[in-house]
Amino acid sequence: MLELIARFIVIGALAFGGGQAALPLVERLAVADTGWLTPAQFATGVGLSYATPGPVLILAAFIGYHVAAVPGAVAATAAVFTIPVVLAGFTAQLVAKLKDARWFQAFGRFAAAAAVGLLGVTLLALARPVIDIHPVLLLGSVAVLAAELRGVHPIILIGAATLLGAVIGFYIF
Amino acid sequence: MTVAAAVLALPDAPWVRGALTGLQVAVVGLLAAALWHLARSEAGSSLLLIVVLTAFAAGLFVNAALVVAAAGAIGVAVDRVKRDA
Repeated sequence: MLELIARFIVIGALAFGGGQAALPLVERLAVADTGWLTPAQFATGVGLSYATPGPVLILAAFIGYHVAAVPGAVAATAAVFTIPVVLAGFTAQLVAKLKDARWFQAFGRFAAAAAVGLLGVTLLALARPVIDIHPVLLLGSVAVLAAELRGVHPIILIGAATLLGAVIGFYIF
Repeated sequence: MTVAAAVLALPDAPWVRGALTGLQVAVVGLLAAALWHLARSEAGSSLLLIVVLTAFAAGLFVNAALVVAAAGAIGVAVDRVKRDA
């Protein structure tokens, strides 16, 4: 439990660029480093995070629940939002100063760019189990990508893909 | 939390496996879209594009938190060099 809390505090502190940019850190933590979740379970968690209200980092609750049931979910969620909330709420003046500080802006720009590169690693890690099931499924991912870029809401895409998967699973497997 | 509990309680049925596979397929597509959007907003210069590509390569071997922290530190150093130049 302490490891869960400590790791999610670190993720919250390094979540430059927003929740999606922090996904690689979460994936490293939950899948590659600790094996708490399989890549498929992590992908499920990400999908549900997209589909539920609130920030994507609510994924912490999903992972925490897998690790230590309700206490784990509460602890992980609190931990991941601790530093951002403390920074935003209780040290507003410091944050205002930091935001204007040239070094902090430079740190944030480069850290956010690195997070984008790491998102590519996460994308590979999550695509691998899909390819293992059948490479042709990636065509579905490409279709989702194209639809999202054309403005279709992620919740609709997740709902449609899940429903289609359920129907195909029911009739084919 | 409720959703996580519900997912864990799902039966091991063909339609459930299909639904979860569909979810995975969608997530891969959505992450690719997120990558596209973020790359356009965060890699606004050739230097930051190099950071993106280097972080991608480093992320295959090095802890992700270290990559983010190291990139931030390099950003501070680069900014200081630019300011002093």
